[in-house]
Amino acid sequence: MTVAMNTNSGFGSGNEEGAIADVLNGFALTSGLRRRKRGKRRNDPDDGDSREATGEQESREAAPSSPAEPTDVVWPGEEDHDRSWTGEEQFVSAEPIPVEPVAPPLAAEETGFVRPYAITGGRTKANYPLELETLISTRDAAVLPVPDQVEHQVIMEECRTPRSVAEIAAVLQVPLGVARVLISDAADTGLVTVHRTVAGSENAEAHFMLMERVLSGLRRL
Amino acid sequence: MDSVGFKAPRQAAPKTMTSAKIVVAGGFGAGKTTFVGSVSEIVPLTTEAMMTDASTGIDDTAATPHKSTTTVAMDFGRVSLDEDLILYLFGTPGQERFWFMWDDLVRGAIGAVVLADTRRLADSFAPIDFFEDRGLPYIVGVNTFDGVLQHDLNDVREALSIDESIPLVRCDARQRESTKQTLITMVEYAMQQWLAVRGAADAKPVG
Repeated sequence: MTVAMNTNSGFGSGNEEGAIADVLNGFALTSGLRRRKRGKRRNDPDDGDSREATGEQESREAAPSSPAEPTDVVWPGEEDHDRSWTGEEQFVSAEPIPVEPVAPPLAAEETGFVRPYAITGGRTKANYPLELETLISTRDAAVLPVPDQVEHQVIMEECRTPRSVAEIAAVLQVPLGVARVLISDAADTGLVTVHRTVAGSENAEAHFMLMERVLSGLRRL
Repeated sequence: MDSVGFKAPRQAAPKTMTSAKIVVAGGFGAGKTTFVGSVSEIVPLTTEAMMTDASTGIDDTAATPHKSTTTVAMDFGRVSLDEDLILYLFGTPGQERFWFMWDDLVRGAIGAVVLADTRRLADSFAPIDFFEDRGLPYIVGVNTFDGVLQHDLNDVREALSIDESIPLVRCDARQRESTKQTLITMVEYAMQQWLAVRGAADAKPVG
């Protein structure tokens, strides 16, 4: 939003600014600010599509509409290097008019992208030592309330039989670090139990006994 | 997918569960996922981690400060060995530059199987170096694609320049029995190593 205002102030101040802007918009862009705003709002949920369009439009538009803001110009080749920069860039650019550009098909994962740690409220630390193979199991379900967060519901459902941290991350389709925080939260609220994991360096005897058990287990297979 | 191993009754899960982990390493196409899948009771799953989780100082992100979502995937399988014991097999991520993931992998692991493809033997160097550096017991499994061993095992040992004491076995990653034997060799070797390092005096004899 602030970027859009800066662009306007580049032309001067007061009424003059509005007049010039109107004229320029009328000639160069045929639509004006109203369309810009609409374009911006439309662009927000799906920045992949508009990025392509922005690059093209920006280079065409640069000369007439923003002589005072040369730094706003993003050349088409630059977008890939710096996403957040182009994110701001969308605010000052209009959508291509009148031809709606056909954006090249994007990879499926680009659309509807949510930053993975948004699920954890930005937290990255778990309160338990959660190794990849650490087992998690749901507590006796009879007395437990249904958790609000859908991820916790999935964890509870999945861990009716003990499951590892890695399996939970795979089922939730979230990165390991995110799964660790979610599991930690579920354990804090008493939904699941975190089983003890034998770590070789801390308890050598237990590690050796574990190896013995694994060996005999493998032989029985 | 063959379902093998011990089937825990669904309702009556024991109170305390134990899990163990073995790492399966090797270059791209060496047969890691096949190896894991041949003995796993589940179709190998994939989990991923983000570079931001732990890679600070490893991957140079200075040039792309906003690129925070590089992911690295790894496949893993599960083998229930007893009603309270589950073994997980983790295949290492294909790209060796994602070392941060390997720290998670080796921490607390029993040991590692390095799958070697004799056509691309150099792919095995990086994992071997890593496990030697971390002191994680490992064995080398020479994957015999189509049952044919292309090279003499001693030549392979020499090419990999690994110690005589490290087991070098041939295996067929597609065969459950072969995978099982390779894992048994690995665990036996890890126990020998454990005894050699800590002394046989304070542990029960192997067997």
